[in-house]
Amino acid sequence: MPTVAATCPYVPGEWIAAHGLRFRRVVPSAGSGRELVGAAAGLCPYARASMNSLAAEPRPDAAVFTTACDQMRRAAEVFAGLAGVPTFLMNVPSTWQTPSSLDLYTDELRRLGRFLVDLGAAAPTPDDLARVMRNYDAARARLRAARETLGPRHYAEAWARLDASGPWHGHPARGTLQDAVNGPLANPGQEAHATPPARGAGLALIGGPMLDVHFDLFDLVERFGGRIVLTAVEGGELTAPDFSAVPRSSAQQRAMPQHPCPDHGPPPRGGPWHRDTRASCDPLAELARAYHQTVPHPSRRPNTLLHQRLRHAIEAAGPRGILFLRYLWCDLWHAELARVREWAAVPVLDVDVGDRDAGANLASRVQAFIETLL
Amino acid sequence: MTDAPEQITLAEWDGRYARLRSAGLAEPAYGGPLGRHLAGGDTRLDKLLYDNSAAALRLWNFLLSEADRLFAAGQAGKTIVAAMKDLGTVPVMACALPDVVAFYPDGAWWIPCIMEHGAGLLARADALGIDESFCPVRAMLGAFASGAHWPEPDVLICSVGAVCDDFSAIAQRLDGLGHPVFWWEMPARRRPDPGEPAVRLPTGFTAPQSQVDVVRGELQRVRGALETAADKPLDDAALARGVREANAIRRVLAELRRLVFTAARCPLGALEMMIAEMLAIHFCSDRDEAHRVLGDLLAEVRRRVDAGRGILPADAVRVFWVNPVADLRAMNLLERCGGRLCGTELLFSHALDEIPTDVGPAEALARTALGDPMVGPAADRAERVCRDIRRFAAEAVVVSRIPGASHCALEGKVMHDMIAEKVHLPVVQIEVPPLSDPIAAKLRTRLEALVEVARGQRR
Amino acid sequence: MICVGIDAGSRAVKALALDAPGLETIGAMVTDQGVQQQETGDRIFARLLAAHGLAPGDVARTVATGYARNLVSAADTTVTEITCHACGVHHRLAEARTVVEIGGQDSKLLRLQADGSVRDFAMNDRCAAGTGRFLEMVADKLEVPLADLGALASRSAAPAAISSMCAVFAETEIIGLLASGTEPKDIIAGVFGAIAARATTLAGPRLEPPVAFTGGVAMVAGMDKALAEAIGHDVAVVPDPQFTGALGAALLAARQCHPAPEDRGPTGGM
Repeated sequence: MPTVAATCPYVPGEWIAAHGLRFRRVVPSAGSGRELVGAAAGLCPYARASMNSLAAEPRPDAAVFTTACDQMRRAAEVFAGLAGVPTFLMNVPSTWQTPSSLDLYTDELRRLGRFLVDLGAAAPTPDDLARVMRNYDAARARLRAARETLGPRHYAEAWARLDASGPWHGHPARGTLQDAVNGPLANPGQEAHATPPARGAGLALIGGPMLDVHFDLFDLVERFGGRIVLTAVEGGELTAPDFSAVPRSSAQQRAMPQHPCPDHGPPPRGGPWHRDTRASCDPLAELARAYHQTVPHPSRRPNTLLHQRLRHAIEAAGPRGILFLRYLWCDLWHAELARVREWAAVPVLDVDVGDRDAGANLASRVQAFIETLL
Repeated sequence: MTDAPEQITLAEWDGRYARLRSAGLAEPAYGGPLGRHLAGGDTRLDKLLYDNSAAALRLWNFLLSEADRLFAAGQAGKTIVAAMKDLGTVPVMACALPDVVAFYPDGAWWIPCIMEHGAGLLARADALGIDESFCPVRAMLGAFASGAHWPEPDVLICSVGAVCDDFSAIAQRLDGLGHPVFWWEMPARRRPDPGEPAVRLPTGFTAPQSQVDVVRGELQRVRGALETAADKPLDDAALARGVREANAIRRVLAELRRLVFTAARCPLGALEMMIAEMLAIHFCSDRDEAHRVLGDLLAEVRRRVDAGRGILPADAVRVFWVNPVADLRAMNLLERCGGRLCGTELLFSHALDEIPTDVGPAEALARTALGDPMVGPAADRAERVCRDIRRFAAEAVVVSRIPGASHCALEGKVMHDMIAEKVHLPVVQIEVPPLSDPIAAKLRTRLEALVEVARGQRR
Repeated sequence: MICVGIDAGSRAVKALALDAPGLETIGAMVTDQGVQQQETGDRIFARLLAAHGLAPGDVARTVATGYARNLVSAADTTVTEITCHACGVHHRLAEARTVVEIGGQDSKLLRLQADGSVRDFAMNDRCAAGTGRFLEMVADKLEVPLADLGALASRSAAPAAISSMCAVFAETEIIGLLASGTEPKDIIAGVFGAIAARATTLAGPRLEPPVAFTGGVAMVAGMDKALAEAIGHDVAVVPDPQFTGALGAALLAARQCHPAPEDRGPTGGM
């Protein structure tokens, strides 16, 4: 089954999977060995690592980049020229509160669909799409429910890699969850993973998307007497679409059946696609609305949703300090640091990372920060 | 000192000014000796070389008096529109309304250079969390914070989407500081898919009609914002008049560029040419006067070209320059190293091309805006650069990276490689900070080497 | 006819005297660059002449190049080190089409035409990482003479990964590596690889062989192999690589005096 890979949270895996393709959400590697693109002054390490990881074996059959940031927009052009992998650049609007911006995003999904069909995929029916959307949403719900069991690091890694292997079959809680959630829940029959007891200074990790090496931050924090109680980073739970928050049109409200869903019991607050698709609902429209209007990002103008979500999450988790992860040369997240400092009631540590793990420097910084909190 | 065309210092301008005045020089209200701006804090002026013509004097005075014009307009009750990032479209619309003045706060990026950090704008930006890893346009943030360089605008209109991250982030920071911004979307221009209705844009690129439609819709929203700010309607007839006025200026500039870049002897310096081009973006807050200033400059250049006179040696190497520089001195340096400006792509070539008049003004402006070289692939921009290199017979190319600008790291390389491959000319990349004095020797070596290589290839 | 080339770099000043008709080197000299850069340039000029029984009046023309070229009062004219290195390399290795020059504080990549003129060039002069200064720092940290770095590196089977683009941070990395027990030979091999990798970045995707390697760092044994591995092509070290710039300057001085009809090479723009 052909694989289509992406790193950006605005690329709906559901849409790709509904076309009968395997969607792979890539967590870029900090890398070693021969690379497609070398380090350069001004080049965001995440953009560079994305290009190199997407070009590494096993190569995907196609790669989807987005315009969510300028560096990645430019990276798409470089990647397309060097990697020999069919590449799609999806225009993700920065504005998000206007009908025209939603139309633009939806049209881009359709255009992506045509690209996938040109690759040999089959355009999905609304039923196909609705089924895949249900499965993905169930996987998200299942993952959320497993939060305490998985522990902070595994939870964050599971979100970062959350994707699904093609069309789902069967109950999402059995077997197929293995594709969606890494870690101990791969075999649901096993005992729940014993997580270390909550201790030490609770920290929030917020900010940009993580490279594989950055998950070591969780261990680093615990080594120094802290614990990450909230992970709100791009590409993780922070940027998962929220279908429950999608406003429904009055037509959709009228179309909602009053009986319980035969599959999953009483109807949740979620979208009408969850139900019988013979009603006048449009799962693609629902998908577009959810991704376009509920996924926060520092590229959004205005960026109010991002700060709203971060504040809400931080208030709920109650950390004693914040680790703000950003890349050298990433202007979007860098600019948010000062805003976060303005409203955060706790200390914020600037964790600016370069092309590879900064090693001893980063460890010292984190240790010193935790010491100030303990 | 003679009246022959030459480049002179600020101190020499004092003497020249006195002689021009006694010979009957007629000046606009903002005229006067250039040296007076030095007293106002523009200390960099003392280190530049200037064209010695009355037309250049008018150009400089026009540029350096913009703040006065804006404050006067604010006090006179005119609507002040701050257009950001689109570089050339919104002011055409704004100036179609009576009693509306538009300017680009982006232009503040030259203030740290001109005032040699005297205004403390970058330090203010630092304090707001926008440090030197961002583009020097962060000076805009400092300028808003200080309130010393323009009156508080009645509306701030900023394009986002396919723009550079640092500008977008800086504008968002501004919004967060209590300067609400009206955002409008610029899609990332792409090549049309097979079978997709397409349209040729004024800049020479081709784009899907659907994208033009998106921009047209967004500019319609911008029109609404302008109407609300000005409390006046902006109908198609007024918009069409605005387009005609803008085109008149663009035609003058096009002829100026053609003459300067193709003349056997360089008739006008690189610094004045760069400033002249910048006038196309927002007319330096006075559209009619911008037209007159450029007209004067064109007349002077014509006289020089007809007389076979120039300001540089006849064998100066013809250099095509890509991207604007944060330090004006770099343009003088090019000439001191033996080069002359023969072509530019300063990130706003869509503001130089004429806006179409064979379609309605809304469609025309949308096509023009979508032709912005920054919103499409770097390969497109490189193609246009290559076309212009051939058109102006350049012998060498400078790609000037803007420190901290998010697009330069990858775009610069794509452009460099494509240009080198397609036109087989030597290409050098430089990076010019707001004050380039500490690295002047390195910049000089690169530019001199480029000139040497180009001369070597003449044999 | 005697012509002199002076390469006034930021770390060292090199001077070379050439017997112009036959283009034979009479002598060459190197000294550390001083704070009084004009004096250093003038002094080496005088010492070179004196060492070979020459007087200033015997010199037909002098060309200065390098960072401090404009401060050499003995020079009749200046030419950038790009053109001079190209000229010097072409004189020694006429077949070279790409030149990698790594000096004390910068590195360059030149693409040459068949006649030795420069087609295009790229430079890194903003950071010490990838230059001789970096190697000096490493030698100092590891307490190994610069001349012995190559022999040590050749014994490495597992070069350390040096990731920092900045020489200052790379120094911190090296300290960390030593503290964690990494062998000096592996660190040195890693540094060689990092320097070579920076040259690859300058080269971009298209690099035309044959490749000539010059500059002071080319004298460090083993760097040529590291460079060859990084760029994927054999690399020829130019004889007396430290003097290539001064040689090129002297050759250009000779051309400026009497350009021979068959000599269609550049004259440095004069």
